[in-house]
Amino acid sequence: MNNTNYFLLRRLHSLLGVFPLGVFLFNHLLTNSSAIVSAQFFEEKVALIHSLGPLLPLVEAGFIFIPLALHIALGVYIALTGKSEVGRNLPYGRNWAYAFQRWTGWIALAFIVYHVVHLRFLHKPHMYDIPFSVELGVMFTEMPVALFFVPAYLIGGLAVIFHFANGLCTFCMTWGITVGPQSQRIMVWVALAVGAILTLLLVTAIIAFIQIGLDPQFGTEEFIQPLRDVHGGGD
Amino acid sequence: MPEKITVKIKRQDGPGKEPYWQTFEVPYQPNMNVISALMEIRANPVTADGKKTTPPSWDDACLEEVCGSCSMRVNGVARQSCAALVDQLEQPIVLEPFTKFPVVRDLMVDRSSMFEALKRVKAWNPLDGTYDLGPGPKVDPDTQDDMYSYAKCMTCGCCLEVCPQVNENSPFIGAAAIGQTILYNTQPIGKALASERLEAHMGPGGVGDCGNAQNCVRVCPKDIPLTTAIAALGRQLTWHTIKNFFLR
Ligand code: HEM
Ligand code: SF4
Ligand code: SF4
Ligand code: FES
Repeated sequence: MNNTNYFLLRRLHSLLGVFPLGVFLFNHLLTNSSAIVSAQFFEEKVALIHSLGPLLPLVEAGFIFIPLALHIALGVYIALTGKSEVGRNLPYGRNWAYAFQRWTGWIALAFIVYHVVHLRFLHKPHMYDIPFSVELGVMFTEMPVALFFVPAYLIGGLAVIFHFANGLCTFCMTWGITVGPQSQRIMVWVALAVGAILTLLLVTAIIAFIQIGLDPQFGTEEFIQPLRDVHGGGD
Repeated sequence: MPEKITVKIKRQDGPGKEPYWQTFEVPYQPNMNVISALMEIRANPVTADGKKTTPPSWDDACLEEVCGSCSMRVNGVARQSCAALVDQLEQPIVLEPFTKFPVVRDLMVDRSSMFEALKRVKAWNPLDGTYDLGPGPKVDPDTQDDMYSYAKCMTCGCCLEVCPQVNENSPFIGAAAIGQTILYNTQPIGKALASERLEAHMGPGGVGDCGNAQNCVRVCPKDIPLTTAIAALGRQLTWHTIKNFFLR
C-alpha cells in the first residue's frame, strides 16, 4: 500500500472513533436516558428522530453505519496486529488501558452487531405496533429474558464507554494534541469525566426502561395506545 | 550472606532450535552482577544436578550500561544484565533472551531490525566529504538539552521488547527509531531530511502503528521521553499532511 494512504487510513480510524461515533454515542445515550421522565417523553424523542423522514436512512448511513463499519474494519485489523504485554511484568496503567482498548473493542463489536440487528432491523418495522419503550420494558423486566438483557446492555454499554473514553486519550496522543506527560495526565481526568457522564446516562436509561416495565399498567392497551399515538397511531 | 546463588537460563542451541531450561548454582561473591554470574557458569559449565554442558552465550561490551548489548529479560524484566545486581534480585535469577528479536544462541539475539529501522527513518545528519565545512549552526541550550535526552539511546531494544505493537504480526519499527526521528528532525543539519523522515513514518510500521501502551517509556534505561517523541511526531505528521494538502 502507498505510504500516504496507509497513514490516512490510520488517521481516519482515529478520527471516526471520536467524530461521528463518539458524538453519536453521547446523543444516543442522552435520548435513551430521557425515558427516565416517562415512556411518552421518550417516544416523543424517537418521533423527533423519525421526523427526518426519507432523510433518516441517509443520515443513519452517513453518520453511523458507514463510519462504524470503517472503524470496525480498521479496528479489527489493528487489534490483530497487537499482542498484549499484560502478564509480562509491566504493571502500568497504560499497559492495561492498551489491552482493555482491544478487549472492549471486541465486546463492543459483539454487542453492537446484536443490538443493531435486534432493535434496528428486527424490531423497528414493528415500532408502530410495539413502541420501543414497550419492547425494552419487556426485555428488561420479563423473566427470564431480563437476566440476559440487563447485564448484556450494562456490560456492552460500559465496554463502549471505556473504549470511547480511553480512545479520547489516545486520540489526543495520535494527533499530537497532548504531547508531554502532564497534558496526557490531565487528559485522563477529562476522559474520566466524560466516561462518568456517559455511564450515568447509560445507567439512567437502563433504570428508566426497568421502571417502565414495572409500571402496574404496563402491557395494557391503555398504556400502549398513547405511545403508539405519538408516532401517528397504530397500523 | 548466601553461599550459592541459583541462576535459571533459557537456552537455545541456535536460530530456530527448540529452547530448553537449565539451572546452575554459582558461588556467591559480594557485589556480583548477572554478567559475573554468567562468567562463573562459563568457567564451570555444570548444571545444578551435576551434568556437564556447553558454556552459555551472551553479548556484552561496556559493562557500564552504555552499549546496550547485554540486554535480556532478567526475572522477566527487560534490562541490561551488566547493571542487574545479584543482591537486588529475587532467586532463582531467571535469564531469558529478548522475545522480539531472533535468537542467535542462548541469551544472544540479533537486533539488526533496529538498525534497519534507523536506516529507514534516516537517523543521521546529511553531511558528506572530508573537507572543513566550518563551524556548525548555533543551538540554544534548551534545544541542546532536548536533543541530548534522545542522543543517549544505545539501541538496547528494551523499548521494543515490552511493546505490544512489536511482534511477528506487525511491521512496527518501535519507539527507539521514533526518538531518533525527533532527535534528527530537531538537529539544525538533520532537519534537512525532516520531510523524508516523516514520509518514512507514514507507511506500515511507522509511528502510526504505535498503540500508546507507553511501556517503552517505563523501561527505557536512559529515561528517553519516548512517548513525548511519539506524540510530537504525530503532531509533525498532522501538520505535514495538512500543509501538503494545501500545497498540492
Ligand atoms: C461505538 C463504537 C466505537 C467507538 C465510539 C469507538 C471509538 C474509538 C476511539 C475514539 C478510538 C481512539 C482512536 C485513536 O487512538 O486515535 C478508538 C480506537 C480503537 N478502536 Fe474503536 N470505537 C468503537 C468500536 C470499535 C469496535 C467495534 C472495534 C473492534 C475491535 C474497535 C477497535 C478499536 C481499536 C483496536 C482501537 C485502537 C487504535 C489505535 O490505538 O491505533 N472500536 N475507538
Ligand atoms: S530508546 Fe531507550 S530502551 Fe529504547 S533502545 Fe534506546 S536506550 Fe534502549
Ligand atoms: S507507546 Fe507505542 S511504542 Fe511505546 S510501548 Fe506503547 S505501543 Fe510500543
Ligand atoms: S555490557 Fe554494555 S550495557 Fe551492559
